[in-house]
Amino acid sequence: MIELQNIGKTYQRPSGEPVEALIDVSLQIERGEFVAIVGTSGSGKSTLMNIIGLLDLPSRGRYFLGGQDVTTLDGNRQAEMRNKKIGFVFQSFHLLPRTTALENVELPLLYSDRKSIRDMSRRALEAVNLADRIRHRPSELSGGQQQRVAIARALVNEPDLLLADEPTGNLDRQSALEVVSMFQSLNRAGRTIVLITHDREIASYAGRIVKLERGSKASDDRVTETRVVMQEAQ
Amino acid sequence: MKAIRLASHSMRMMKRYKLRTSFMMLGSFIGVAALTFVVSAGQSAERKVLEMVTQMFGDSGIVIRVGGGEDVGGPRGAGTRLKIDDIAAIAKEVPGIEDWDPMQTLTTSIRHGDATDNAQIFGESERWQQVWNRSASRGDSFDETAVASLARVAIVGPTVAKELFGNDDPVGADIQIGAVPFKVIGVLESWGTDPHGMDRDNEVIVPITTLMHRLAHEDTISGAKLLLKDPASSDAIKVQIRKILRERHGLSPGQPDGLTIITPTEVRRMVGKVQRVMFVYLPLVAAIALLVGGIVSATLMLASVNERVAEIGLRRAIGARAEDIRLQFLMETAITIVAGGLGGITVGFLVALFSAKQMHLGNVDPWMAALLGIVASAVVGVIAGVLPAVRAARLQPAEALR
Amino acid sequence: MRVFRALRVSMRGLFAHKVRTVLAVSSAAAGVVAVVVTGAIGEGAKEEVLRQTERIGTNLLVVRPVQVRNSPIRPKLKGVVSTLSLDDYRAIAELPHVWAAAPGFENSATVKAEGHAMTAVLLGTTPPYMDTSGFHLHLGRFLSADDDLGARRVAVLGARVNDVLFGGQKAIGQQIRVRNIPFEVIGVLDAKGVLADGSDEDDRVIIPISTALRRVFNSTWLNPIFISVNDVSNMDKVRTELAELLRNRHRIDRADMADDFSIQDKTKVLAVRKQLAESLTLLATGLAAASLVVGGAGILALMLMSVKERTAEVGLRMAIGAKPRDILVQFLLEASCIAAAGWIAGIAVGTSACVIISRTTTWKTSISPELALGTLAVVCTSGLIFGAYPAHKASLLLPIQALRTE
Repeated sequence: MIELQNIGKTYQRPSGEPVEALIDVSLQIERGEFVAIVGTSGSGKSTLMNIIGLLDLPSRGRYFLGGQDVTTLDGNRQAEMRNKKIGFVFQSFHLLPRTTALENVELPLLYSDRKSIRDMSRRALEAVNLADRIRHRPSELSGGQQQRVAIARALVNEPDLLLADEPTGNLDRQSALEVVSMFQSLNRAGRTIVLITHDREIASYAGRIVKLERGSKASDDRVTETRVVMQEAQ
Repeated sequence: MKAIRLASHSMRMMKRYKLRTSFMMLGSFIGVAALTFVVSAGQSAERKVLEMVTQMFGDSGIVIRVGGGEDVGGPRGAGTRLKIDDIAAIAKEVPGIEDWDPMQTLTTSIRHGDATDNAQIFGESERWQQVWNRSASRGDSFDETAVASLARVAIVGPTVAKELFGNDDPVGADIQIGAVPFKVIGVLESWGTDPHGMDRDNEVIVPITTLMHRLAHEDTISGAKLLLKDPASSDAIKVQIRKILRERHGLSPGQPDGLTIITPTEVRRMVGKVQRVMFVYLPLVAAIALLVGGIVSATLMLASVNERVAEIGLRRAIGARAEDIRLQFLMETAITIVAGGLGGITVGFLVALFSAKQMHLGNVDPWMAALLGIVASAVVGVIAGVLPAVRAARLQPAEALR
Repeated sequence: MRVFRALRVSMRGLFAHKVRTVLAVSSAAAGVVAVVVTGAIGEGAKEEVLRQTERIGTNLLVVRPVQVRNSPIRPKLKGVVSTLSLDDYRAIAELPHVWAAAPGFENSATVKAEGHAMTAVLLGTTPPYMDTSGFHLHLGRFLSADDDLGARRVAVLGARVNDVLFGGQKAIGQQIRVRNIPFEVIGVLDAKGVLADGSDEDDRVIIPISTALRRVFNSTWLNPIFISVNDVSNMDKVRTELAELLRNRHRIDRADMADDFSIQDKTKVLAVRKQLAESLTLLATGLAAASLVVGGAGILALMLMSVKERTAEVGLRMAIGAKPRDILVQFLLEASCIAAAGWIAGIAVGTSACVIISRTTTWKTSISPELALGTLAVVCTSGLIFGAYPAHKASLLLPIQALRTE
């Protein structure tokens, strides 16, 4: 489903020097996989994620999504892809303040041609166990709850691909495991999931671990024994 | 429909961010208010200035005088014997005459007790104040009944009052003009000296009928003044007046009419000059108001948009296309401009009205200014509010989100 | 020293948010520019309008001999006293603030030329008369000092006299007869038409005063003397000095002796002119005030926005020890810096704009030091006032409120 060919990304610092964030990364991800991208800070994993999520364009190389070369698409078509095919969960949530959970979740649907927006949003929030907080604003929700709203938003338009940048970074252990468990069940239901984490334990719940080091792929291993999150007794 | 959905979403967002929305509206509000105020107050000030200048120079009046032209034969030659009816006829037949006042004059002595003064007596109609733009500063003037009944009432000039009454109030007192007793009913507004060096305060005004029949024993008048609706028409009207008068008095072409008709040549030139000054002044000041309003407006809008680059990035990340962003911001801008603009017009107009009252400027007319203000706000709104948003929409979402 | 440190903190705060700072500064600058330019223009326009209206002689004073007082001994005596002399005129011309003075002797006379005759007003006077009367020459030349010295028989015709006597023909060089005395036409005046008070000056024939006194009227006294004062504000002064001068010269030194002269000005015209000047000044002031309010509102709005966005920063500062007063001072200083910078920019732009305006129009634009300093004071004050509310709001934030981002 995802094919990255020789992807490179160079930034210009304000002083004028170029910074190579990604150097010649090639990667293939099949439909239905659960991939974790790990690396230290500065390894380029966020940059890679942005490119996969069509949030940024590579400086070099090609990116095929679902067989299509998306690097050559125009802005509008890319936006369409982001709307229909990709769901992105940001590290800092990026929820609209002063907007209810329900309204935040329905945001992607506003830009689509779907009809029954309210229902779909409500169901998405129910799926992340926030049915009782749909009218709450981000400032009235805990970090974990905000993260779940962000996930609901990413999923509301039923995309094939779910991308998450450090989804458990701000969560306590219980919430983190709940989130991973959710990802696992989504994956079992057929969704392709790619997430970034610096936490080895979280990564171990995925089916495949790709390690980045200073902009290049250092390793790419399948997880031999997939762990399943145990639901601890409430 | 997707557009309607996005529209109502935008409006909901605007309501949530009351402060930010208020700021955007504030920009439009200020711009429009400033412009409305400046232009309407300016317009009425301009009108007032021209009014005052016209007052100073001389209003849009034509003066008809018997004599003052070529002397032919005897005292009044073969020329016309001008009558009040002649002037009335002109006022009726010539379009563009606002008002008129006939005139007859003689110089004689006025007595009160032991004091005497030699002054010029003017006989005029009850409309003399409007037509000559001079009024009775104390007391009253006479009305049409007084004119009809040849009343023996007089309005004396300040010099006459001083000569005859010293510092006492002359109103109500009895005086003798020539051999005829009159009652003083008012004191003339002081005009001072005229270009000939003649003391215009040494005059007395009485009803024209009284002067003609009781003092001068004449049935003709010595002249008249006509007020025009449009000062620029004075030359054309002068021609018409002469034609009518010659016709009424059966003069054949070539026969001198002994009439002098004077138009306000210099006046028009001066008023024209002043008009040109105000012509430059007002638009200049309006342009400045526009500029200031525009800059502040743009400032507030730009600041608002700057704040929302991350939001724009997020929407793009979720799937908004560039035109969705553009639609959203266009809508927001339109609403803020209309709301802010309406508020601005109201406040600007009220302030202009208030200042106009303080400065005795007369009526205030805000519509042109308001229209200009709204158009300007719209332009500023698009340039400062929509274009930056669209530019932000063109960024890669990752950049915008940073 | 704490002031400097506080100032540094504020400056750094401003530079950190360059865009917003620039926008706020331009708001303030826009207000200042508006004030400067409208102030200068207002002055310029007012000067221009008042200058244009000078032509009708707002600064004119006329000295006339008074009418003879009726005395019981000679009840039939009429006319004016004959005490105003040429020497009086020369003395008057020397008074300070007198722009121009001209002697006059005026009476009606029959004027004939080429088979036409009319009754005109004959005025004997000298060259300065042109400066007191606001006339312009249409053709030829006006009287000269030589004409007067030689008591020449030359005449300048008023527009209507020219029309009646000569029609469209060239009058210059032609002969006219005034009271049967031959004169040569040397000039023709522009038509004035009828003036505000109904008076009409186009019916005059102007000849040298010496010719009028010696050859035509056989008189030694004047009626009237025309005086033009250099500025409206000096009218009263000149009036008083003039009266004193004449009383001295005519030996009217006891309080109970009445003046044998009267001095008049164009009362109504002066009054209207004063109103005019006041209206124009008020208008300009109103505009200036509006501009400053507008500029100030811009500062206010941006400062408010700034405070809102920087709540986290404020919370952090407080968490590491800043007191509410320090925050207040920081934002107040920022507002003042913006105001000051705006003033500098505004004055620069405003001055250039004024220079451009005075080059392209005939107006004199002047930026008085008072205007510049005044705007500085107002801008700084409005910066403080408009910045005070947002600063106050910032200082009230609790550290925890601030650190918890929305």
